[in-house]
Amino acid sequence: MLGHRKQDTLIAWLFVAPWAIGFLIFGLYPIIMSLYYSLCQYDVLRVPRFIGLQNYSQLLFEDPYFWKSLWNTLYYVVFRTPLSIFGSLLLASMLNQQLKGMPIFRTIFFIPSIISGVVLSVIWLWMFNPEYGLINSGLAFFGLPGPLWLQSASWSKPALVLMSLWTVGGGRMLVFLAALQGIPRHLYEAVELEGGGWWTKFRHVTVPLISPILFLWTVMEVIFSMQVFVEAYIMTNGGPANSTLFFNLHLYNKSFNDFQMGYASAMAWLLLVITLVVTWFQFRLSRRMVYYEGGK
Amino acid sequence: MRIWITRAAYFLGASIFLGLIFWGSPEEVVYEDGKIHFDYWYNVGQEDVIPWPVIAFNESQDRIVVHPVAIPWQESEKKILTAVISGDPPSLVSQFVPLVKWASRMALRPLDDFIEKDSFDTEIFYPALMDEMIYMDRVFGLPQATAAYALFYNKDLFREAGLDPEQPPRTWDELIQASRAIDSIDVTGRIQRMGYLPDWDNLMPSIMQTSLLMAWEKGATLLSEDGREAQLDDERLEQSLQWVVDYYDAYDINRVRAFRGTFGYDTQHCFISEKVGMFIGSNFIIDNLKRYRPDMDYGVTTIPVHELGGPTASPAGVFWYAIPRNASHPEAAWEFMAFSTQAEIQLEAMQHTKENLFPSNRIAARDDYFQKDPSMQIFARQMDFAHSPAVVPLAHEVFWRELNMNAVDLIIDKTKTVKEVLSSANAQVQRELSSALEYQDYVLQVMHFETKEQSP
Repeated sequence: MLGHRKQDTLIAWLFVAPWAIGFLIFGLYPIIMSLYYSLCQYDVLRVPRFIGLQNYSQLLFEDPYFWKSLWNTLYYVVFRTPLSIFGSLLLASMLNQQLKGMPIFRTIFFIPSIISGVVLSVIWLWMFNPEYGLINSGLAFFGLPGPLWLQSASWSKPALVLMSLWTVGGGRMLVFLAALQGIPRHLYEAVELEGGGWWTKFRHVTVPLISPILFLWTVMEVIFSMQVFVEAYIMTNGGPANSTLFFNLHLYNKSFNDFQMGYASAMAWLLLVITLVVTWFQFRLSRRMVYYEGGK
Repeated sequence: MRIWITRAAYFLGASIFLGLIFWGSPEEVVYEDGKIHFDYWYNVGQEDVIPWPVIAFNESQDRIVVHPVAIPWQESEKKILTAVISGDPPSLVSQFVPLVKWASRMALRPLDDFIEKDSFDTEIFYPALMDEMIYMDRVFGLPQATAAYALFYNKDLFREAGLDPEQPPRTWDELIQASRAIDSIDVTGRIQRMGYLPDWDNLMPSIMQTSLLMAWEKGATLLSEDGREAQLDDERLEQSLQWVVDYYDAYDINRVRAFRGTFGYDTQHCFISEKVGMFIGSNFIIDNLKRYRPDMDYGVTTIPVHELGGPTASPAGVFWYAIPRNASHPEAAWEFMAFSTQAEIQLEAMQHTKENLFPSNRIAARDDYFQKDPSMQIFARQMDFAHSPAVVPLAHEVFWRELNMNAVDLIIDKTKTVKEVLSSANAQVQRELSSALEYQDYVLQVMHFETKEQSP
């Protein structure tokens, strides 16, 4: 018979087993295999051919679309992340007022975020229509010329950034709202006693106290933005002139159109490395910018 | 309490153990009627009905039963290829993508032994379609039907522009003249209508790139005879792309882009909504014209040529039948393929389906059923000059991305010259082609195309 301690361990493992087996088969195994395939020529249907680091060298030195897609993705990250964080924070601050009927407003602002990415893309395709779109019609009402949006290589990326702000009222805003409501009132009262205005309150109380949340979402948003795909896949297919060929769209083309799974795996690993570097850099910066009330 | 936790844990463990043991043992449906039953995966079109050849075949004999399984267009390629990798594919599939994409990846079973055994005549098919079925001197599929292309023109718009609706353009120069006459631009410079768009197929860059048709007409193949060297820098393609650049020089390109952005599906199709007066399209569009614009007075004519009397050219997309590797009942699947590609069955299929399929069988296309319709005569004639869209088969996707997504966009924006764009496109396609050839050479040392003896 097993001792109690060993039996407890066995029982614990048995309970963990469904998840552990699932993770090993559908998580860890594909991850390890993708690392191996990134060193191979492989199209799924035929045997892999080991080629060492050739996929990586081709990506870095011979594939102009690798750099183009990386640039497009970084552009999206750099503009989308601060705008979406700021937008959500602004909205959360507005919805944090003690006014009657506020829950209704919170619900209204949350609703857009529950629409699926595909549906959203189709709606915005029409919003951005240069001739009949809602946006250009609105601009024309004020006598302003509307840009070509998705039909133009210079406006396509800003258009997708603008579209991404549709979800500022989603889960991120709710978390900010919860964080704002967790700030003790007496800190604001102290600022008021000292004669400080709304900006002082925001700058010296609100931001420091919600900075861990802001930091968490900045990290998350950067990671999400690096993986931008659906909008470009549905709305532009990477065009015009590859201006919306994002990293993951290029990866998708390589894997599921060209069936170059080895090459696509190498791309995925490079994206992981890039994401890790960016995240590490953010954590370094956070030491000086994030305030933890109880210490780290 | 503890005893229940222990029992639950052991029950969970036993379930997982049994689950893993029985995992991956698909149960095959057993029919007790003594007949061979097999699955046939086909794409669903606009009319979600059982394909006529399946009905006819099942009624024609009592040894084999074909079970058609409709799969949606989207992702169908991935679904079938996943089934092939799983080792349990359907016995027969039909698809519209270039067959070489699958054959080159050893996803299909060669049919040469069946063709030889039955002395099956492959000459019944249009050569452009049958050529696409061959990879490394082996036949991997049979053409099921095709999309034939021709120039559609709107006779009402011709009349409105003061053109003779019975004299459609025959040359590319005449096409430009007619196009300019049909153009309509308002006082603000906004384009209301264009006669023709040389690089755009309604919602996306066109697979019937005018530049490619023009290059084909001049005899360009864009690939060396041994299939190892991409030749996109061919001066005939260069001249053809320059024609496109010159064509757009008459317009503010941003206005053209805004205009193109107004196109949509179905009733908003550029030709159906009369935003474009001439359009190189397939016989499929006739269905939509009947459905959405039964009143439209339009004509169908031969795709223009460089000089009168010169050769025309058109692309020919092909729906094909093929047997996946490791498929069960390949003999029965072959019997069905051979049956359903015969002229009489194709003709019956055309009459039974509401979709406007064009036969892959030349004998069927010459039947009175088609010949009494002048527009079908045009499609049939155009098929004699058809080219496979698999121009560089082993780098098919990259070829079209380079030509459609990149080249034309960059040259009409004047971001790059035609020469620069083609040189860069050729380098990309060649890189892909060389890599595919290297891989192919390696694979052939360790894998072999499935033969009759190896098949189950």
